[in-house]
Amino acid sequence: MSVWNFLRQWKGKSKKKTPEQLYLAPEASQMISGSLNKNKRILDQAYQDCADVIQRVIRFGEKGESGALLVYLEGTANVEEIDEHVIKSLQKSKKPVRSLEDMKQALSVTDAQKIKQFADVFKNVSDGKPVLFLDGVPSALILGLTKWATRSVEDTPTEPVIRGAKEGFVESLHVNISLIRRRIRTPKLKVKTLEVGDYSRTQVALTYMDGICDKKLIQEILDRVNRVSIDGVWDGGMIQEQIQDQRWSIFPQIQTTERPDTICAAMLEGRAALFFEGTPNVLIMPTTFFAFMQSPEDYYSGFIISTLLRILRTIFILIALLAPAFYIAVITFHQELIPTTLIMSVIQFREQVPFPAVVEAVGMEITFEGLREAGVRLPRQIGPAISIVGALVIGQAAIQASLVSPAMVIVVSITAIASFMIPHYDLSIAIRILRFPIMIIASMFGLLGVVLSVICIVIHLTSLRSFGIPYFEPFAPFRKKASLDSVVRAPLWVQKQNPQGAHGNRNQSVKGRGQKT
Amino acid sequence: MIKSEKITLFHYYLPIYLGMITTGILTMPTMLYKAAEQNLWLPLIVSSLAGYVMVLVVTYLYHRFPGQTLIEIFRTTMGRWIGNFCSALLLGLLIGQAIFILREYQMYVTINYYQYMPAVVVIGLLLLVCMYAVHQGLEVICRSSVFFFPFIIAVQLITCLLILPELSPYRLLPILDKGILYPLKGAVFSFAWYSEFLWGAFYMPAVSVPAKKMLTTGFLFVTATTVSLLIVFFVVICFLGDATSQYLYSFDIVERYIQVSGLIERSSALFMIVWLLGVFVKMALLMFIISVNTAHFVKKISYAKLALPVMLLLLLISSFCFTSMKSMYQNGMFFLNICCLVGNMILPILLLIYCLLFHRDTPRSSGQ
Repeated sequence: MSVWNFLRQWKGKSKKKTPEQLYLAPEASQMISGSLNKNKRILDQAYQDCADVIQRVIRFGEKGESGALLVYLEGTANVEEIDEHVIKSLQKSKKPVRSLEDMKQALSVTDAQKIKQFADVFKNVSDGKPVLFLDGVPSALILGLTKWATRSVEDTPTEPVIRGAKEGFVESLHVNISLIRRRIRTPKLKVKTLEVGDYSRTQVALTYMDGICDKKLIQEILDRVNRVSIDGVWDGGMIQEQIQDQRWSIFPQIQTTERPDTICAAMLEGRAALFFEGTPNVLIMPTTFFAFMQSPEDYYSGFIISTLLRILRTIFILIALLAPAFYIAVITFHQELIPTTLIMSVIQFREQVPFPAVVEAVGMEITFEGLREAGVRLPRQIGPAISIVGALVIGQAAIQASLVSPAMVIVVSITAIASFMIPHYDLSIAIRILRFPIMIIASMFGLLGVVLSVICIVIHLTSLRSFGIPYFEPFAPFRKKASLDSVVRAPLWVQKQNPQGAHGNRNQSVKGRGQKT
Repeated sequence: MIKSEKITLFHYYLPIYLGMITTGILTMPTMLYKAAEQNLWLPLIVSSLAGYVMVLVVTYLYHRFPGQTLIEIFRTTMGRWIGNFCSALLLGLLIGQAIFILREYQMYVTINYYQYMPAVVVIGLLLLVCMYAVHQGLEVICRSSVFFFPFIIAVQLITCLLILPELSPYRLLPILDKGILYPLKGAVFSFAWYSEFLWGAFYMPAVSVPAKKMLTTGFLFVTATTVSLLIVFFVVICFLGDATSQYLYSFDIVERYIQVSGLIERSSALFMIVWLLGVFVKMALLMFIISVNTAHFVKKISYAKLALPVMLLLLLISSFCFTSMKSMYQNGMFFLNICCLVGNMILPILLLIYCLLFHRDTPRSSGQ
């Protein structure tokens, strides 16, 4: 046993490489030398076969006796500003430039930092910052002249609202942070940055409100994110999957959004947000089940309207989950539940259909899911085509072919509408998937099976936690104040009297726990 | 073991309450009517005394032996051999109660909805779900019962409200026409029912509250149980009158007669759904208690891992016991009363007396 352990450890040790060793060139351990030629040789070696690395030697001084070497990545550095503020400034400089301090004075660039190691050179060049070496000086200057190509701020196609802010996050981390800075104007809004991904070294920013958010939560999030081992991160989802409390659950325990107002509201409730460079999707944690049933618009359009809408959504979630299963159970086992006149017509139509109800229902639901998936993946130009075909498959033609009964088409359509009513895609897909096992169980055990599967789902939901907060919170365990903003939405002035919040206490930190999105 | 799990006092009593009213409203009216006729409220109120006594016993034990379950208390006070014997006896009696509840559930479901489904399947389905709940722990059982609570209460209350126009209160008369003692015969049956308040003693360490609060909340829940059952009894008697004794599930019959604009006429499915929710809460709690108690015997195994063997054991025993309606309501009822009276009342009260008489060495005033 001990030999085996030893072997395992030995094997593990030999394979393990630090992240730095993975993404940096082998030359990274060297120090910057005083000789420009030697530096250039090292750079050439490291950036071999990198056509987009620009190295330019600048000669300046009265007789061209001083030399400098500028290195940057094409397309990531701001070339106009480099021309204007670096090259021109140096060439115009009257004073002799003998040290980096002199060079700083000569350049008209605000952000300039001194570095001594090649590791820092490689890191900063990858970040898009030009690096300037000076002949005879064993260190270099980083210039903050980056310019990445980004999309401009546009409205969010995935979370549309009628009333409320239209702008959504973009792929640039800095733009995204600025969008929330613009809404919460206080130094208490804290932004912590870290890097994830062995090769991608994706910038991640953790934002929270100091004094409202619990310190332990921040530490827990940082610990979990740092523990993640992954080559590259292209979206928050890749991290979400690895840091949520119950990884095997179908229910999302971290909320995703593209809306700055949602993030700001969540942070004022004591939640934390995780931004990733290169994706507009931001993670909110902790979250609860009921947060996925809420739209930011609920807070903008009056409490009566939003309460009614939320009740409507709750009913339709149940329909999305249970309607086909209930139909199967009733048709197969409990015909006595249907009023006599209705059962006559249902039977009349079902006589012509050669399949049992469950085959009919599962077939139709799978067809519908297929249609939906095809609609998402199709290029926009041929999108309408799928809806025409869809209307034939789930519709009159299918009934005329005696493949399905009209009642089934209605059930499937209502289910489809209901599943589209869930404001967050993560939850809606979970509900849609759960529908299928319940349908099968309903066909075997009828209503008993349906009820027991719902109980199973409730057991699972109540056992979940999101960063220590019970997932099913304002209801199980019941919290009176928080439940004012769950399936109903109490008027804002009533919620404002809520004495919770604005304390760095975990129990009170997530104010109203699990409500506002 | 369950010390890591923390529940509130409301969570502590709620599953017991839900379990009692669920099974109570289904079969109790008929049983009590046979004994006490229209005066069936009297035995119920009298036997609710048992509930208060049980809450007192549990609170005293909770106060006197903090952080210990009933089984552990038996062992620490009575020594290893007697303590082990008593806890084994308790375990057996609890399994007996579980068997009866399972069969009761199976009979109800089979008779009303699934004539052709084998009993093993009906019982096995519920046991599977309960096993999952036990596996997730006490917190989850309590939380899900909190979630089901409004649905169960709402459906029962709405049923009572909608049937109001059909009620004839004169069926409650004459009051006490055969004297006070005649209806009290029925109290034996409901005594057993109320003794279920002892179940809390098996997961006491999960709550941490002052004993006084535990006592008052417990009394509140016993009163709530009595009131809820009384409402249902009055509705049943006022609606069915003499016919109550003819139906096995009288409240189910009542609910079938609801008529609101031709729309809510077939709500019996709804009734079954909430009844299933209640019976799940009761069964999951009982199975949890059995698993925890078994875990005391099989050391070093957590109760969550024992959920599967306990489930198989219950399934096995229940498939042999009380296979017919007749055997269940004649032998089974007697058996259940013995199980409840001995396990839930006599044994704990003996323990209490023993503690009061011979275990005064820990000088702490009782929480009463």
